[in-house]
Amino acid sequence: MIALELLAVGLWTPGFADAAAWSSRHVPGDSPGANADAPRADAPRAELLPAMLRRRTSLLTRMAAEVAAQAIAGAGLDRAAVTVIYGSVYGEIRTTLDLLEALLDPAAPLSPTKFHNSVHNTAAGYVSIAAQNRGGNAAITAGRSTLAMGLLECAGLVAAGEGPAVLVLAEEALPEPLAAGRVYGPLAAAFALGAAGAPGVSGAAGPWDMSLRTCRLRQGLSAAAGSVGSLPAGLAANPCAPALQLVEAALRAEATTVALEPHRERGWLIDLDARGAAAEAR
Amino acid sequence: MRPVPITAYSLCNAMGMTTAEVARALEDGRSGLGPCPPEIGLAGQATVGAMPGPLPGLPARLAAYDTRLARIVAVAVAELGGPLARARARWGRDRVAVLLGTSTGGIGESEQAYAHHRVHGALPAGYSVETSHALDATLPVVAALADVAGPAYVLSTACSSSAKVFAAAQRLIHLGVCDAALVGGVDSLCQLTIRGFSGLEVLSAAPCRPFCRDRAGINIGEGAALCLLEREGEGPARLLAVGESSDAYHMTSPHPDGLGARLAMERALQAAGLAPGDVDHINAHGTGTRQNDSAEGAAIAGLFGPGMTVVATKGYTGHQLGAAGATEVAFTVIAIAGGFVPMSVGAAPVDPEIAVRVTTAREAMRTRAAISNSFAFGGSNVSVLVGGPG
Repeated sequence: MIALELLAVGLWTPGFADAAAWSSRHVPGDSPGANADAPRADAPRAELLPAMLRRRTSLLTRMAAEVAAQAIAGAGLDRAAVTVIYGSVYGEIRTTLDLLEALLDPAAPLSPTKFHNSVHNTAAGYVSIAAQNRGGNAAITAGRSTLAMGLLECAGLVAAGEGPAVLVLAEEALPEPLAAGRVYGPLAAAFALGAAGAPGVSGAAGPWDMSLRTCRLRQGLSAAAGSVGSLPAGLAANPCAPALQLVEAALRAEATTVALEPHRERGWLIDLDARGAAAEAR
Repeated sequence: MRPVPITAYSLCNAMGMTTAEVARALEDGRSGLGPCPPEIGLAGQATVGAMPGPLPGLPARLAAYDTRLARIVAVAVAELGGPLARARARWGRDRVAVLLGTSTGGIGESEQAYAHHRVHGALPAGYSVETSHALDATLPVVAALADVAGPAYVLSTACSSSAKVFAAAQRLIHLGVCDAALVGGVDSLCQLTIRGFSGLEVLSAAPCRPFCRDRAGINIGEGAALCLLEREGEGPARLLAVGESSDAYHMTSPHPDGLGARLAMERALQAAGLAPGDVDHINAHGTGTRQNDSAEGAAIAGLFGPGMTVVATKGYTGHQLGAAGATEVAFTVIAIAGGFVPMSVGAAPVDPEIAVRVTTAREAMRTRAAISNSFAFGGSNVSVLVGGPG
């Protein structure tokens, strides 16, 4: 069992600018997104990136930059120093598809910009430049286990004394023809994680305040995890959908267990203590 | 964190289909570079480091994952049957992690599938974005062939991918979620990388010449390299520490003074509690482009002084991108175990403006500790510090 503090979360998906917007969608009888008071968002602000760059980068990179900034700010971390781990299954798949199209013409030179913007660590590179962060970072994938493995990677960093780490999960819609009928919307979420019981880091105030929320990673039966509500149909098939379940669990006050690998009978789970339990226990 | 023994390793690339063949070519200073093979679709258009022999197919149960990439990594896994059996018996199969670096994944299959779709209006039978294209599609292949079931993920940070895995493995062993890790990298030749680097105008038509006065760019290579890391054990070398940094400067150009490269090497030394004088040689990233080699040479000379012995090995293999980091860590292990530093193929005459001592012939050396550097797009820098068996 591995204990961590969940310091803050970030979220962006079309129609929901952040975790607070997602949280406020819960109006009895309403379908997700029907709350007229919730801030609308059709494009991530991604204000961490310079404006010129924002126009030239993919939705994936902008989503990742947006949720990373939310989690970093929410946890009161230094964006020039914090380690950020980026998880995505298909990465810069739209840019990659553009390159596949360009390759069909044997005489056409490939766009150097598209080429370097197709790597899995594109967001990691741009965010490190924008934040002037000379620390390490990484871009990972483990298919539908990306959230679980990303949390282990962050737990490893925290245990190694590298300080708090931010895990970003971001997934664009999969374009045809590669998608072959797999349909889901874009989604990005971020989790700022620190050492269990580490003092001195305060979360932002607000309904999504995560400060000192102890969580534990362990292996067990996925069916043993409680349900934290069904996902909107358009996001259920997103390979990073478990990240939305974890955001959902983090927004609630009560103790919850989330299956991080719901596709596996037995896999990694995360237990979240009731909010405030860590502070009381000290 | 404690040093981690490297108890076994295997590699295959343009130099040979087996670890023994590769090691012999490294000792003999024999390059594996040659013309691009016809199956990549760019025959005669580039000098590359291609796998030198036919690639056996995967077992029937893994047929869905059958790609050039999977076939290459399967060659490297097959050699480690004995050490993996011992690790499973000692630690348990669910205590052995699989951490792999790749930059290409199965993009070569997607190139063919996309072209097929254009002609026939449908993807070819057997192609699936999940099992053919995805970077993680190599994980079930390696886990099944190695018969291990610990945590498994892919790190993909372009050309530093399979150097990063050493850092992640050392941390996971320290964290306690595994006792051993099969780490490494694999990349396969495809049009995207060859034509992509051509678009960046850093591709050399002739065999690459890292650190040479006349260097004119890189060649792309393919291959796989794996190392078995165990919490305790006997082996030819030990992973001492890994230093990671970001340039925070530019997506494709290194910081001109090699600032990020220096930071990564400094952090590796600091994490291991070593001083620059404790390091006997450096396996440079050494790609063969003018600015990369200049920046790296400046960073090494600045930290270690101009006398530091440096070897560049991409003249043997080409730049294997996602597989380069682990391949060059394995080369460093071979050098430490064999008591030598390899010749830097193609380096002579060395650029007089690069102020380090680049090997131009094989040299005998008892190496106490060596650094293997890997730098990548996004300004991602990794320095893997490898020591003798201790």
